[in-house]
Amino acid sequence: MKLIFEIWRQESPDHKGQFKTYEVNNLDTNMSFLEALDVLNEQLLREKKEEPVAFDYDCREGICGMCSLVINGEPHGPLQGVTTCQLHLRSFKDSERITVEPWRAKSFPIVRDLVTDRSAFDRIISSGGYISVNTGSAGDANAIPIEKAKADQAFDVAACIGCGACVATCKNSSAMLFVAAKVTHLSALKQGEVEKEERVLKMMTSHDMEGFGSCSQTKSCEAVCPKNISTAAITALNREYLRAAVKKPQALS
Amino acid sequence: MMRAVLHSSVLLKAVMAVSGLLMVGFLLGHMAGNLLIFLGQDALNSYAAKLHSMPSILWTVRIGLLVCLLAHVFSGIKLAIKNRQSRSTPYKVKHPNASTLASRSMAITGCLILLYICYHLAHFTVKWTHPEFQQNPGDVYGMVVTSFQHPLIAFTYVLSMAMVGAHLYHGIKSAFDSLGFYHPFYSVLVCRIAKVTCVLLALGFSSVPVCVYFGLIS
Repeated sequence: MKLIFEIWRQESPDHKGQFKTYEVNNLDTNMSFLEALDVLNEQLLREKKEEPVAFDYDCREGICGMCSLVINGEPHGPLQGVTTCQLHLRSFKDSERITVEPWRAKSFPIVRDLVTDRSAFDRIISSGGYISVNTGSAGDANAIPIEKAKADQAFDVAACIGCGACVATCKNSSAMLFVAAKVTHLSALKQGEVEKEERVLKMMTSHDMEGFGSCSQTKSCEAVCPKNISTAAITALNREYLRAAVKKPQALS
Repeated sequence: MMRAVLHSSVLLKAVMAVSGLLMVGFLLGHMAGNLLIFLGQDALNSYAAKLHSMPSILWTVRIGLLVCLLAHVFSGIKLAIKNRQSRSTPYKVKHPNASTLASRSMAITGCLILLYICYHLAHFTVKWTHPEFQQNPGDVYGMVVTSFQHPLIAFTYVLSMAMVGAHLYHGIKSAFDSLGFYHPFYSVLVCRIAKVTCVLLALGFSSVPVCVYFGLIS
């Protein structure tokens, strides 16, 4: 199988980037998309003309949230509910021209080529995406009974791997789906109830301060989310935020 | 508190949602009034006369609408500026990824509707575009029929109502989302009612210029 990659190359955050075209032959349809990029990089290393293409990855099992890439305009490529590492070349046609771009958002500055700095997500989490518990050994698993429906509801949103595909596809580069997943996950459970109001206000303040845009409810984030997180979480986030703003207006600042 | 509203995207969206829904409520009432034209000259003119005989209610509604419009436009501009700043380099390949054309063009349809509102007020309310209407301000029926016999005016109104329809196609449902309204059954119902409402408003308002232009009302 042959593929023609049109890839965004950028030496460093300060350099101007541009698209470069590469032809890669002898690919196997069972290879993952990242493996195809590995083949390209081996080719570039052999040719000794250009540096290999930098791209993010870690587990390559679809659970770590490190891989990214906007493939032909779609974050994580054309398949629904999978990350780039779980996307295989059988999803493409032979000799297809594929445009590969990094996540594009001001809050995710490009580090090099296709690698972006997603530490804005870490700062949002550290602003309030946690529960305060005493340290020590873990408590008994059944000490706090959680009804099945609540546990399922929390688990559905807890599946978020924080990859940032929601930001990448959103026309406003909004990270509301990410924040909504974290907020609704923690507030659905007894353990997270104590800091419910402060959490939503702090995390949304951090979200806005990081430069992410607002939610226009286009639902494009839901469509590209590799963990199929529903935008109903954003509606729940709005409800929680407005309720918290009324209950604790002093916490808004 | 005001400072918090200005800096919070969720609160600004809530302001847009409340002001937007209030304006949709007004539009439904406005459309019902407009459709009286199909009952004849007396029905529409006496309805207009009745509205003008209650200046306190009329001005309360007008001022309320102006506040809603200003709040909606101001929040919209503030959010749009921030949203535009959030991505400096656009994508080479653009893919809609489930978003609709209506949802992606809210700012454009909103600006066009604002222009239309200015023209509409200059046309029928203060009558700057047609000073001759000042001579007989009570004859609303006459004003409407004279205006919409002109193809360009009729076309402008129909096109503007298509913009209103497109804006509300996404706007009404989005307003409920912004206010945090979610229910597994009622949210689906709200979504359907929102779509029916925007189609009703666009068709209801457009029916007047269309019928006048084609001579069904004269």
